[in-house]
Amino acid sequence: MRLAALIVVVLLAAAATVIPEGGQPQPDPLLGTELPAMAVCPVQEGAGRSTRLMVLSTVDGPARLSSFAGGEETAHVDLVIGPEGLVAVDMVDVAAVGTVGSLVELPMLESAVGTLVTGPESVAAESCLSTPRQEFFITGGSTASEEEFELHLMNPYSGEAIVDMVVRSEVGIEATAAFSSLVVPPRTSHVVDFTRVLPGREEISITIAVQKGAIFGAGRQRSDGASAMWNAVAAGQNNWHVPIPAGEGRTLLIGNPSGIEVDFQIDHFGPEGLEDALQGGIIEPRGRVEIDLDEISIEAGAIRVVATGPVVPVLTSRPGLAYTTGSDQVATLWLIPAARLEGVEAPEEDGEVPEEEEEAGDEENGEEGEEAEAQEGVATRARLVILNPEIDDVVVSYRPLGMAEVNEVELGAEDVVEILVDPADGYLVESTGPIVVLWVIEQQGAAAFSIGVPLPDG
Amino acid sequence: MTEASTPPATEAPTAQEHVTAPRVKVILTPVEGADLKAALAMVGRQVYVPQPEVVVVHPDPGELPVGVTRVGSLEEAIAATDQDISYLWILHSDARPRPDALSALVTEVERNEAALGGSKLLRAGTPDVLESVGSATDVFGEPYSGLDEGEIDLQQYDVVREVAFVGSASMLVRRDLAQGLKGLDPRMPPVAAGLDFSQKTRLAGGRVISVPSSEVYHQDRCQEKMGGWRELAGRLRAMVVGYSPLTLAWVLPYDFAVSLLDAIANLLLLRVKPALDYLRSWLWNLVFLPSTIGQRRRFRPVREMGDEELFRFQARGSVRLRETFSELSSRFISVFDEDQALVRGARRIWTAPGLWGAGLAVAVILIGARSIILGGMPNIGSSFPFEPGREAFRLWFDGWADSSSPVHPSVGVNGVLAWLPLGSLETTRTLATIGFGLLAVLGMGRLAGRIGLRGPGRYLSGLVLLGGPGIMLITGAGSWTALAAASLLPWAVRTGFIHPSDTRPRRAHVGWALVIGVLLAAFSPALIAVPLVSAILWMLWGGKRASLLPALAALLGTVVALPFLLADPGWLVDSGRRLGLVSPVLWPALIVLATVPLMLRDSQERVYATVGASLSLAGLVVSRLALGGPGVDEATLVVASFGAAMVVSAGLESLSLEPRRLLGAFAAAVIVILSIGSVGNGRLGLPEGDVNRALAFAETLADQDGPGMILVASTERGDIPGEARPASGYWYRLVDGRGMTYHQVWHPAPGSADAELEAVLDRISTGSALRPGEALAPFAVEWVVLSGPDFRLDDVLRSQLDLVPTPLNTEMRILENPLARPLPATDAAATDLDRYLALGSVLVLVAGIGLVAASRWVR
Repeated sequence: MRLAALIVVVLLAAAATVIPEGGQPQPDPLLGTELPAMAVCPVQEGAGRSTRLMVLSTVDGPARLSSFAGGEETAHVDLVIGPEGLVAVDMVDVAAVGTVGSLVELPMLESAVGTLVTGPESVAAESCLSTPRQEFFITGGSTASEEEFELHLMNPYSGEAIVDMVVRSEVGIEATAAFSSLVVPPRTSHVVDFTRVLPGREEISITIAVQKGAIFGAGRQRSDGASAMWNAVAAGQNNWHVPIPAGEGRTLLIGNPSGIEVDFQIDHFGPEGLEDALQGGIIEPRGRVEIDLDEISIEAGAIRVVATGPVVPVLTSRPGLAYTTGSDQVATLWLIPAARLEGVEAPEEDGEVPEEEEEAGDEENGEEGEEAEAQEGVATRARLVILNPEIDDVVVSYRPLGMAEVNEVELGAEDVVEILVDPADGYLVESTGPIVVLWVIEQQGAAAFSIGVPLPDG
Repeated sequence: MTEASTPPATEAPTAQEHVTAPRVKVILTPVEGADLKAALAMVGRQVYVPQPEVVVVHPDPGELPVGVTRVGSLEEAIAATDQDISYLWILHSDARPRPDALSALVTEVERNEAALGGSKLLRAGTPDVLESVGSATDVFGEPYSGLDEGEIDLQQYDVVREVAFVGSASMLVRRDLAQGLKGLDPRMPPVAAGLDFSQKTRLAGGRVISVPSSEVYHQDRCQEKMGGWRELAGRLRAMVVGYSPLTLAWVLPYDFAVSLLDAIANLLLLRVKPALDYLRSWLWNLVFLPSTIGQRRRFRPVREMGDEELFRFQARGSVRLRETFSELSSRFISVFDEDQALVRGARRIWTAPGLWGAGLAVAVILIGARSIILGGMPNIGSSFPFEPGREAFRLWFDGWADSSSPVHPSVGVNGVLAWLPLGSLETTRTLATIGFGLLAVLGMGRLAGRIGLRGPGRYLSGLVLLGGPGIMLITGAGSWTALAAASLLPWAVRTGFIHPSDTRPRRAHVGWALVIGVLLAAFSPALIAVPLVSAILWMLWGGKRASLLPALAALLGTVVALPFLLADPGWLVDSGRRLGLVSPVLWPALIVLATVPLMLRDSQERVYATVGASLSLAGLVVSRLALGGPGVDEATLVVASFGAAMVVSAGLESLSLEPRRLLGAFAAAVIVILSIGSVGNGRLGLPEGDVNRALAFAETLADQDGPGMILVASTERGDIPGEARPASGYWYRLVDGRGMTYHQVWHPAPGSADAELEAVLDRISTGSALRPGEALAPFAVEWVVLSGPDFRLDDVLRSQLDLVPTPLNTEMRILENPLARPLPATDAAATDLDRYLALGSVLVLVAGIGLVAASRWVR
């Protein structure tokens, strides 16, 4: 028995030593993340400007629009998107809110919201943002003479946000205490007026790092009564597509949000097809390069930007002053928050821009062209510029939301098409292959660009 | 003892003997203030032939009688001794030997072939008051004569016997040995010198005997002048010279600790001098360390024996401490004991090693509970304030207010504790916790005592029960319940072992088993099987005195836990809810090291250690296998410590230098030391923290509807008070904003609302909920508290609309939900079965008490 006991004890001790531990009990597996169905839009009311928000969705459902300022919700309205998939709201009908942020809570993720700010001589449009980022970037601001640039930081959430900004202009990094530990209280907008803080700068690029909380940002540029609005976007992508409408005065700004040099290359999709590696170069840390698109072509086309590090391309146009950030996604389904502007007269027929008009555009300068349009009584026109960056032909169908009529256009591989469309508050664009869509509106010399909102496949 | 010697020693030597008697040289060593001439006169009256040569060690002795010579030092006197001298009689000049003292010494030393003999010392000027008849010592050289103060010589010690040492006042030493040892150490005071010389003699292979027939009156002037710290210093020096390096490695730290403890105890007696004496003795030895090392080197060639020779006559423990604590206890007891009846027995109390262990263990418990005593109980893990008695009983009978789900059965026991008039509920909780600590020590001691163990380990093992291999983990995670259950476990096991002298009827044991079984099952239901398993193992490994009936009766105590277990069987069987606490592999190794040497012996200790090792190691194995839920985890970890405590009891039962035994004792001692480290954190192993204080903002900021609930979430399970539920990548639970109380430690059985809350949390965790406050409002969640490292919820709650971040705590992220709504009132009631089971457990308890009472009444 003594031997048996000894054996048992030794065996138990061996077992207690060599049996692997059962391990710590673990909580449930981490669930995947989902974005909340929401969008945050910059809003301007007063001083001759008014804002119209277009809420688009592929599903019928309730939505809620609220504006926030001073730590609270200043106004809200419940919306029903309805079977048309669209509801447009003039902010003036909600509240006299000034320059604030607005939050749209959407029925589901397959939705999009756009904002269009109109002034006496201006129109500015941009898709609203739906995803807060920890670091984002904006380039293209200028505070040179007659130019005004401001950054609109919006915090719709219940916690305060603290951000640090790295600002670079043509004189280098701008070291100002106002750019560090900038607090944006909960449910508040904060407008950084660079015209006052950094006057006389022509090339302003801003990297915004969120230290606490979450925030959205958009830039506003004004010049000679015209204005443009474009989003600060996540600073992490190095592959972009930028559809380019036909016309003149267009430039492409490519900003480098990182602290290291970045090599870049642009490919051009034009009438001659894809021109690989049309240009290239190096972008300084936090800096930007400017590419005159008119030198490449004044026809509709598109640019693909490929870089060795994160970059952000911004398409600009003057003198109408339009800005928009390129798209880092391709998709087969796009929602285009647009706007049916007052006084818009629809063209006689939807369809590709006629050859003769393009040719006229080739031959005449912009001013003369606008005058000609005005003389013809076409004060406003809307266009979609659609890029097929892939190597397969696609069929693109598009329709203004709320209308039954569906138009189709065939688009060859690596081709771009520019289409005149009925002015509407939103469009749904579907394709048999991945595409990128840009919306353009022009009205009496003012213009606005807006990249569409891609929806996930399926 | 060698043999009675009185008659021959007192007889005058015959003529034949005179012819063959060995030659002796008397060396009179000086003592300040002593009358040298009187000493010489007494030497001259010695009846011994051939006449001894007399030498006085004195620089200037004045006029000496004829035939008496002078030398400068004892060493010189020894060295100058002729080869034809057989013995040296070293005599203090304050000693007054009887005329036959030398003759008796020589006769007995010769007869017993001893190397050193010492006289019986009587105090000069008294009616034969004994001063010394040779002494034992403790391991530190502290003399232990066994004589009472003022004890008269009635020849009660007149037996020649081997002793540890003899005083240097009168000793007869073989000349060759004295020359080899080079005499007494001149730096030492008399007693220490005698000790040193005696030790050296024994280590050199000689015998040291006490010769009571050689009577010497001693004026003790040497002690007057040279006692105190010099004696302490001399003993320390004697240790350093005599002991081997291995012994010194433990005896010196041990001596230092004893000195410290004795100094503290003496300070309690308002005596500062002992502390100063210790300090001076250590300093003296540091200063004279080179000299001591020289002495050690000089002695090395003569040495023939190991330290075991010295240990033969040593008393256990520390004589100094024993006397000091004896005095302390006498002082304490005398407050209540005017006639000193107890005081007279106190001295003997301190000689019992078991009580020593108990005292030490209790002291460790009290010191280990210092933070609890001074700062209150921690509110963390499963240690939370008791409910008031009435509320606790209501909960126990009716279950949770909102769901009627049964509460943990220990809530009922706490209700009883809350009724006790011990002060506030917090005071009751504190006293209960310390009481459980003491109960554990006492329980282990009594369990081992029932088996027949009497050593110091039986009570010290209580520390292992409280801080051993398993329980250190579970109490470290905050389980107050495990502490309580552990303290009851040895008592429950003890009911299955019946002492041979126990004449109580069997029903008394069954009664106790029922009572303790109910209490044990209330705190840890799965532990109720341990008494039966222990009894079976005990019998299986060859033990006696075990009885299965009480162990089986204890199983009836399970009835108290049945409502809880039936409502939530996952608490026992769902391994996904296990605690996940795994003991380091060091423990099995230590347990085996402590057990195996005992298994080679044939004694009750062997069986006891084997049962303990089996239980402990099985507990550790099961905890590794992750076979059950938190209830099983808790039980296996407690059993692991309980078994280890049994091993320690046996391992420290008796100390011996036999290598295997020593190895076992060493391993057991290491287990005790490691356990003390765990228990000694100030909270008896419980962690530090106060969740209720950290969450008190909820109560402070509450509106008229009350504070609502707090959702606490963290990736660290330990951050969640009480039981935690898993969610997507983190743990969570709802906590009552008024502060968590004991019954809330365990979740009620999961219901539909729990599933709904889980679904809401999952949605929030994905980041898709823009208004999480609105989603949590129906659950009355007024606050969300995120603890530990940042995790998914931190990310998603940065971008939401209705939970308001607050700066209420810098270590946790706290968000307020302004939309929270109070929970709707419910009128849930316990099921009939639950109530019957609750009543059943009361009946079992009453039956147990009745059986115990009845058996006492019959007797």
